Amino acid sequence: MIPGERRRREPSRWIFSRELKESTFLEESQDERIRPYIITPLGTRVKRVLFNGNITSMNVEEDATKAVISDPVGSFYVNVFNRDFSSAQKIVLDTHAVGDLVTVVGRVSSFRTDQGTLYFNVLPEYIFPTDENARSYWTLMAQSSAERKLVAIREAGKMEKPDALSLMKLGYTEDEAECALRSIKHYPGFDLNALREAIVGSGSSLQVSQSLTNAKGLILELIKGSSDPKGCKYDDIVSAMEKEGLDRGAVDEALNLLGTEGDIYEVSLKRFKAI
Amino acid sequence: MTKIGDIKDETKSAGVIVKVVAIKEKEYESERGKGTYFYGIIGDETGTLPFTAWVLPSTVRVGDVVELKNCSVRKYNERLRLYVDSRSEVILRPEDVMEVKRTYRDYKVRSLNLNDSYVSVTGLITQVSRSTYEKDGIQKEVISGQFTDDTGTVRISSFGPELKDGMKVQISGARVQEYRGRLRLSINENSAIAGADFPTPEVPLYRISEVDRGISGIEVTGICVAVGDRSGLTMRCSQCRRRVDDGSCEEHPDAEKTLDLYATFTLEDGTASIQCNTGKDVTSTLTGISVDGKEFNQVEIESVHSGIKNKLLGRPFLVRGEASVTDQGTSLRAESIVEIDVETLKRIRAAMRMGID
Ligand SMILES: [Zn+2]
Repeated sequence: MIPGERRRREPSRWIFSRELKESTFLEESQDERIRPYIITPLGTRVKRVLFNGNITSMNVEEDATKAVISDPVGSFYVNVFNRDFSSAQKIVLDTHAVGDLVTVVGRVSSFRTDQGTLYFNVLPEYIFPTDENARSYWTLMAQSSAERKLVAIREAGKMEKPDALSLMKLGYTEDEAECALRSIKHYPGFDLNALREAIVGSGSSLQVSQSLTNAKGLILELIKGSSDPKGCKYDDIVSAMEKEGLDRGAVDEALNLLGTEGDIYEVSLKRFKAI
Repeated sequence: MTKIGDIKDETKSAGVIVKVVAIKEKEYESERGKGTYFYGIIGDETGTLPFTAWVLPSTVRVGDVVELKNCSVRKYNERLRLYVDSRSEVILRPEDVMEVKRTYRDYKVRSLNLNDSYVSVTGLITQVSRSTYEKDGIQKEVISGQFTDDTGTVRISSFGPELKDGMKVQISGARVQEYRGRLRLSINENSAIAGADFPTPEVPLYRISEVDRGISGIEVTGICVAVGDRSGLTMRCSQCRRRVDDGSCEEHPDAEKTLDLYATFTLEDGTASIQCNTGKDVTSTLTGISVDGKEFNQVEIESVHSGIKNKLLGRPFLVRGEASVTDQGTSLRAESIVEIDVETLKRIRAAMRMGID
């Protein structure tokens, strides 16, 4: 643990670089010494992040090391300086090379250009070597978190006066509900579609097996044939596919792929429609 | 007079004859000074209702039948509640006898809380054991076990109805209690227990932000971002299990010291963080270090600590265990911990899709 750090520190946000990059709003604190929170287009309130990815470029100098670390949809810019608490992390980062897979936990700092554009850097607190399983796990969690927020934002948009409690009654956590409200407040009219497509597509590097192709066909047929105006229910898809000998895991993978490829979309939490 | 079972909406003028099922007194402070009010549950042969009384004769006790005139019924916490205030009239009816039909709200294990202390729950009974205790000079039996539904597990104790391993039951009138940051249920001869039919529950996977009360039989995932400085080998007093790294136990100076292995670490999953701890067996399995019957020198003790750090830091894990919620925050005592692999990823993917209802 870093010296002087509080015992209960703020948990990290798991967001894709793309979500951070598209952020344009800072929530300033009354206290000027406190770094502002970054509010992303999905309403995520960011001070610390945790992410993993491949080092795609590295510039090592005596007083600082700069690295670019790529997640499935973009890059994080990592700066580590040879001073104070961070010199230990510089030593760790310097042992790595381009191509290495790493997990980084760090604080995000922002700066605005004269033109008003915001740029973000990550100042690492920890850098850990990582493998494919850890990468898949992080991608899955970051993706699921973003997807839930996207659906919550859509639900909030349908409400005349959206509030956290109404969203929580729909099954969102307090944090997700607040993210949706912040997104609506600070990014009115923001087109989330490009971000959605990038994030939902981020898991598509998975190999597609023959059985999965079959499952996709069956599920698409089922969703197309559904007469429910609110969309085909997830639980109904699972039980129908059980009869075809497909387990829940296969159904989920097929649903993810169908979503990625643009054949279906999630109308609301756990309800699907064909496009 | 209105029957409790017929009260379906808010009203400004309710009149009921009821039995006091539960009553508690609470002090409050307002601009006009200190005062006391009462709250609890009232009922009649058609049902029960929570109440708050700003004014009530101090002689009213549990079991008393009272007539309440000119009361209001309003929603509080999503639930109807009867209010007795200064314009209400309270008439004691000491001659009356009344049967109360108890009604309980249905709860999942993950929603149990101390604000609603008598509930209806449906779940599976396991790990039944029996013990005896003495009350008023008479030996009595208590049956203990675990109560599990698809959202988690709590301990259950019965001072009446029979509990057997593998029973699937619906219980009305189970009491919710808390002990050391963990929730538990207790039942007695006033609780109704009936057979129920439901699929055997699987262990639920929670996102860390959803772990907000002391229940067990749950799983979380996360990447380990910190390992506690004192993780590793430690000496404990064999009597009280307290750490005695520097010298001997103050309370048991003559007791033997035993070697223990444990770890504390922080997991984060992007929704929140949670403090986890593992005892001897789980830490041993995780690290491949066994301590039984061995002695360690200082260098080895330090290498065990760095071994735990190397094994945990920056890695993703699936942890099953028991959560406890105290002033110090939420923590999870791990019953098992495995590093996330391709198989666990499939499960996590399915659970993240479903969420916890
Ligand atoms: Zn002792």
